[in-house]
Amino acid sequence: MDDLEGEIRQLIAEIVEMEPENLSPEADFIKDLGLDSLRALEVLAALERRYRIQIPQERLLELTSLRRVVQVTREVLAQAQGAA
Amino acid sequence: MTAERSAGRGKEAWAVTGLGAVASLGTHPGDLWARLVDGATGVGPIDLFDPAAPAPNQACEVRGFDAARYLGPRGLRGIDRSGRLALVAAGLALQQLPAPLDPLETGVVLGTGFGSVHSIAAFDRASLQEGPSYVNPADFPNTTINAAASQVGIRWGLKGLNCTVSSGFCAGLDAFGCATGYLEAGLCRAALVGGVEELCLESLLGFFHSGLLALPDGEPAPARPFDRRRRGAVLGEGACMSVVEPESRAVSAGRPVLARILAYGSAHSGGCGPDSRAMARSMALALERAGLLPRDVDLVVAGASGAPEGDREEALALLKVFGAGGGRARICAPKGALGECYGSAGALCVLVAVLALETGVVPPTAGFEETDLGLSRVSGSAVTGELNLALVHAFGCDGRSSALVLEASQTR
Repeated sequence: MDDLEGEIRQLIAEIVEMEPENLSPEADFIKDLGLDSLRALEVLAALERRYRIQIPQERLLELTSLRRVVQVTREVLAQAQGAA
Repeated sequence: MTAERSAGRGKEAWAVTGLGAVASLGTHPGDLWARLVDGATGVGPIDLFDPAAPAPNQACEVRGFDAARYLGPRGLRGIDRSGRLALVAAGLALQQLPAPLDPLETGVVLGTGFGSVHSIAAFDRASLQEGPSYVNPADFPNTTINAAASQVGIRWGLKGLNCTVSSGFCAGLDAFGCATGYLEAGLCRAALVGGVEELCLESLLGFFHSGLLALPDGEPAPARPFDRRRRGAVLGEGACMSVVEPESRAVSAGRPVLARILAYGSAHSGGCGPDSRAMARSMALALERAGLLPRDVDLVVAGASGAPEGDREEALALLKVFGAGGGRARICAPKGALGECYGSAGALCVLVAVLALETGVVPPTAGFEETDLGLSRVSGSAVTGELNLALVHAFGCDGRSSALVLEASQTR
């Protein structure tokens, strides 16, 4: 697990009110963790604030698990760095 | 009960069948009541935040409040202090019922002055500091004044009407006026009714700069409602919820009636500042609607907070309505012990009235020793006696005044 995954795990665990070590990378936010739409938006806003990025609207539906969130964040970060 | 007295009533009295409270004096109606009767006060230095001088470092704070102790650790994220106070008070009121209410027919009517002005300020601050793109959407619901009422409906699964009453100092009492109107109109069959107000830096500074608060000479000291040495209010916080329903329904469902609500009245001065004439009108209206005369009232639970002008105006109104010396009714001002709890104050005063009618004890007015306002029956210490009828009064520096008349349960 790299730093980015560790950080995002911490951030999401806080929002879903779980211990970070209990958060499986594959767990589905809605089906497995009972995340509602407002909490999903909170995850998104927390990522954007933390990494100073804008995640495009069309990618929202991809943010279904910790693993997917890390992947999308990594891509958006890379694009932002490439553009800079 | 004479025919004349009952003539002015509606068809049915409203029963109070559950009580829940979180205040500086205790988190449970029983604890709160025992300490109130004992003459304790909730005043002390502020733990929640550092009040910047020259604002007073004293308040009636709910110290060490931990909602998770009552509600469990999960599901509290994103719920602010107002919401948590309201949730716990509502839970305590519901848990007291020996037979549960029908959630589909149960409404929530909650009074609050500010909602959470602290949550609103924090959201604005984040927007200014981080930029509007980076605010947390989960913090947004707390910037609405009806957040706490909604949380009560969500947490406790109450699916009837859900309404917030924001009328400043009268909100906690006006909630009862609204709720009994809704019950009368058949919009719900029972309601969780009350008020909530949290202590925060923003409201402390607001009240301080409005000149409402007393400055301590050193050690924190309670306000002195109706006393000749009163110099201002002490800010408080808390939540208080009552279960209110038609008396016949409570009896048939096996929920004991703690007290009966007979009538509500309200008035406004049409101007600014506390106004004895508006206060006298709201008290007279409530008594008239209850079919009662002022001399029938055994207890007045007053809204006096120790603020010089407001206490004077309320005393003038009591003299006008109840006659020389304030008549035969005992007068108790709970804000001496509980502080100025603003939007929740009226609801806390209803709790005091219900428990006084139930136990026959008038609690002392903390901080009171001697008055210059012509009232002869302000309770300096706890008094025991036959209490059958109580009038609760709330007023604000915005010219508003509300009154609620309650009667002891006939089955006590």
